[in-house]
Amino acid sequence: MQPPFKLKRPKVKPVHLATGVFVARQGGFFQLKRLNRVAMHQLKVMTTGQHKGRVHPDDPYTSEKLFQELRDAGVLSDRVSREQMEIVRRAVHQFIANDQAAFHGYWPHRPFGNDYTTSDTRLVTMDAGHAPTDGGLGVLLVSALSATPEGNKVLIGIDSILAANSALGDLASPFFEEEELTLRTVPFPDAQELATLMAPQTAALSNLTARLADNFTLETQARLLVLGLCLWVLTCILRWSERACATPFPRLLLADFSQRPRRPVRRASWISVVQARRQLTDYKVLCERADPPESPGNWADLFDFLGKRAGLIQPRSDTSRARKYIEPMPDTIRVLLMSCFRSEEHLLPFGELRVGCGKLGLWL
Amino acid sequence: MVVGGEPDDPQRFREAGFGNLQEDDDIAANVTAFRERLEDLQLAVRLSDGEHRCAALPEDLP
Repeated sequence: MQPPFKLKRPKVKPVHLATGVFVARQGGFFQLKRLNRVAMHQLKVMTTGQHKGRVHPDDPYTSEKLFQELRDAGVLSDRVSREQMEIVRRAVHQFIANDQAAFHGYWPHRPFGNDYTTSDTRLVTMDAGHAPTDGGLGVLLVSALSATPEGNKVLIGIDSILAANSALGDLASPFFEEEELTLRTVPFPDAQELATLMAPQTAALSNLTARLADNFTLETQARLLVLGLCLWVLTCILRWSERACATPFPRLLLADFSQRPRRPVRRASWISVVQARRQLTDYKVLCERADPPESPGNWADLFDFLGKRAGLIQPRSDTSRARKYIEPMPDTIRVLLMSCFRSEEHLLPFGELRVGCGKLGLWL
Repeated sequence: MVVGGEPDDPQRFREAGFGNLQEDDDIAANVTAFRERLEDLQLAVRLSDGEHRCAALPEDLP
């Protein structure tokens, strides 16, 4: 009955999950204040306080202030002009904020967490004063994975990805300050039970990790592994809620590959999404009616939001009025497929492919 | 996730309340479409003996 975790926010994107896992794995993060000041080169006016509507007179993000800071810190040589520094800032911005999701995160601006889209341990950061953007899922994953040998193989794979220096990290490294890791450790009490429930999916993640190593660039390894972690989370909430609600048959997610919206398969796929969401809502109600009442958070919205971003649920648009159905995108198919192959297997007959329910049941 | 390729999938679909899915017209067609998607992604190939084989990586295909 008791939920294995309380979801703090349902709008978790894969990048948030990645940051959460990385932070949970290494026990903390760096604040990277100077890097933030360098990367965010556009002037930002204040939205509150006595300087509302204009740039704060002591704003360290301004070109003049930052130029002086970098000069004083010995980061810039005397030969580098302020104009040249601005060119560097724009270049750093293009990489750090490549998905338009980096923000002025420190004084005098409102604190704002930045999830830089990278797997370099030197760039793992979040807002120290804000609830984690992953909703607490990173701790859940790392705790459950660390409870089994197969899960530990996944964590070792994550460690190796984190440890490898990226070109982006090298580019940003002159703007790192001496700083201690900001610690963030949250205990997770129920990992063994969850690890047992999710053993098949953890084995699949282990297969994926083994297949990714040495076959892809570091960035691609990270991206595909994060997709795998997203699928693990989606399966986890479904399986946990089914068990708690004593659902007689496991919920199926019927993938529609027909590309034909009016066919019965599309309708059945849509029904399977509705059923999954209803299952998660039922579990929430069950928890709220328990004695004492529990609140697992909005797992149904997480399923929808993360499922779309993990390339499982279509159409992706949040504003689309179309019915949601299951159709894995190419990278998601690759992740599912790689998860089916144990290390010694290279070719499988199509009939033995296990990407679904029952025999195809590594994932769900 | 289910595609429909298992022999007992039609029964499973009925239990799940997926309605009137026809084995040939709907389920088998969906499986074929999935297989073609894998071939497009270079993750499956049809061998000379008529068998379809899948690989985790395109370079593993014969």
